[in-house]
Amino acid sequence: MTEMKNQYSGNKGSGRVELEQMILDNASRLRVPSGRTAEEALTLLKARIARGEAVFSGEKDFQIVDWVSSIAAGLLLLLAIWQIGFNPSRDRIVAQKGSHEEYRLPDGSDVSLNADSRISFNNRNFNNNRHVSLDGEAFFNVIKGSDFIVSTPAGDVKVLGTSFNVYARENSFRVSCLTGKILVSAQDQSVIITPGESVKLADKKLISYTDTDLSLATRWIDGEFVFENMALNLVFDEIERQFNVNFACRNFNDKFFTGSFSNKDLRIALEIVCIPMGLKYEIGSNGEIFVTENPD
Amino acid sequence: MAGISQVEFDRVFMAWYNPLRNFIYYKTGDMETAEDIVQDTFLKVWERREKINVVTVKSLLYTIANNLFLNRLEHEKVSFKFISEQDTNNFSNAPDFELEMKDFDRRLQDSLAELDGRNREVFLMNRIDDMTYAQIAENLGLSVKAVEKRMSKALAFLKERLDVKI
Repeated sequence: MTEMKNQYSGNKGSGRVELEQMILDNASRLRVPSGRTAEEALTLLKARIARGEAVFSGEKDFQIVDWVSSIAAGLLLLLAIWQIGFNPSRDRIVAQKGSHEEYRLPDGSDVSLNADSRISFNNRNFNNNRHVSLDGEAFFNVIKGSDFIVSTPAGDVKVLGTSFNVYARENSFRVSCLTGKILVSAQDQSVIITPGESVKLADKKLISYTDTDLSLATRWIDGEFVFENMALNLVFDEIERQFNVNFACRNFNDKFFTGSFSNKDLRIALEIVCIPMGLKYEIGSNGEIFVTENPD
Repeated sequence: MAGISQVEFDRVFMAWYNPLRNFIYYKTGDMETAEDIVQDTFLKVWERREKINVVTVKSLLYTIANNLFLNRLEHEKVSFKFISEQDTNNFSNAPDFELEMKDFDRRLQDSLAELDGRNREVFLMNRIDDMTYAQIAENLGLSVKAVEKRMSKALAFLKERLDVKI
């Protein structure tokens, strides 16, 4: 110890070298204080990107931007209306009630559309701007490439990897990830989900959960509809979509169904749902379905 | 070929997030500021990813981060804090020496704070991030000679400060 001290506090040349070495060695052992990890930072960044945040280069720009931006916003709105309503290069794929559609997008990605669902996208320059609007339910198998975004009225899904299911009907929004990694955003919240995970919107909150069996979420592609403790009215909605029929009246708000039906045969589907629920059904001459409580 | 893909962007992020954050930390001494600046830096790169070449993205990252740092209005002096990973095994049976090393470390950190910012960042990029002079030169858009100069200035200053009786 004394030896070392003498070496670097001395005025001899060798002492200076020793001191230099000590400085270099000690500095090499320094570490910056811990902050967030690179992974955490990347997740944060992705969320900011998904929210569409932009960085402004200088604070001074803001004042001018204030009134300019309101005009720009108006122009953007016009442009958006044009894009959605009148743009001739916009393609629309619709699966009517009672039918499913398989479609290959211009980039080679596949979409399976469930009954009563529609997608639209800009077919011009699609490979560079992979943006699909969805209303209904669809399964996507996405080819690797630039960002792939699915917009729904309730929220957006951005693909960081490959295949996923989106359910966006009325107020429900559910997304299940089968392979790869996806970023789901809605109501100013963002969640990254990985295979086996799903996320749903409940009370304006994005909640991620693990499906007991994720293959159930996409069974509809093969025409099988699986429900677990699902409001009976929503099950009837699905029957209406799959067989293009109408239920005359239904006020079963307090009933929940667990089970599955296939879209091959309407009568079998109705029996599967009605019998365990203590209901009976009749198909009217006009195709309307009447469901009533079974007195037995 | 211009443009970087999502996958490339993620890879660049994972490879350069820490060195870049450290770089800004060496300038500001404030971890939160450093994290904010690096977030904004990558967001800017993301926005321009179609025009960016993956080969030059590194020096672009440093340039943007440096500009964002310069744009910050407040540049108040902060005391630098580092964590020292002392190899205590080497002198576990010499408590005096350990104490002395701790003192040396404290004085080293104080001196680093007083060091000219441009010399400090080069010195710490070399010491903490293990970058060679050539790598530092490439990242900061300097010549290797300029890096050597800053490095030796930093060393000279530190030696001056630390060469006093303990």
